[in-house]
Amino acid sequence: MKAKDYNRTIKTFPAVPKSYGNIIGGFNLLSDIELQEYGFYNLVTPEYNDSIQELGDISFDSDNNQFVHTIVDITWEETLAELKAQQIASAKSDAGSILRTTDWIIVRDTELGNTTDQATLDSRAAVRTACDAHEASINSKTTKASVMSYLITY
Amino acid sequence: MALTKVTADVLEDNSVGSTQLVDSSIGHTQLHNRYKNAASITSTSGTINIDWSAAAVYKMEASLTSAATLNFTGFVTGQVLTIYALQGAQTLTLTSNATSSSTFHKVGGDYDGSSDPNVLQVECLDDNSVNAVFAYTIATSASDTTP
Repeated sequence: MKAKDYNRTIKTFPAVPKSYGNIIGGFNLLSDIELQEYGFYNLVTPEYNDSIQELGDISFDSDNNQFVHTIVDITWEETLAELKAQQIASAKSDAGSILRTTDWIIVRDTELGNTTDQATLDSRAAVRTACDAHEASINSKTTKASVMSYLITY
Repeated sequence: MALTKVTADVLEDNSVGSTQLVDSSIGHTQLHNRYKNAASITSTSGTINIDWSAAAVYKMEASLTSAATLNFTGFVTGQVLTIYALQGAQTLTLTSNATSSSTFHKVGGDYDGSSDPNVLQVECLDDNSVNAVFAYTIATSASDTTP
């Protein structure tokens, strides 16, 4: 990814254009150093947690001759309780999706009076236990960022 | 003594107008080289001077071997120059000998010499020796008799 400053408006280029100015082809073949002569510099995006951070403005790092994305913390309009409710709903939704894959087994065995395989019962129980644990963990959080960065896995 | 043949020495400069010419008497042969000649380009890298007064059509005789700049000289307003068989996956830049600036309006296309040969057509929009202006189109080409 490259970027160029057009009179304080920074334009990003996912790919270097083939032509630029009087160069009618092969502009994308120029080296990084040559591209810098035309104002095209690398755009660096630092690692960030997109659950609680987002990309901000782009600034030029003259020490390293590159553009850099600033990372800013996300601010949420929702209350802490509302965010917890969202996350818990997400945890339950994920659990529901997993349980649905074996629902037909439960329905079949109930309808036919069969004994359900223990492994299936155990895996479903584990999902429900994990979901309860996620809900408890989310409810124990005291900041919006900690709620939103909580990783829900099954 | 009666004149039997008028030579150019007898005629005053700028004295012959269109009324003295027979209609359709000016053919391809009488045109300036810049409008009728074909020439070759043998250089394949660096600055390559293209004299617009010498030919209307230039053929690249070999693929570009490294970055090249086509430097236009001798152009006049309204003239169109064609360069064909332009090939080679290299960076290609246009410029002219205008002393201050050379503006090239891209009408369409990017040079891509990685596989097929390209045809570049450039029209001189303003032959101002200080700030020259051109328009160009470029595209890959292939021999094809069934357009």
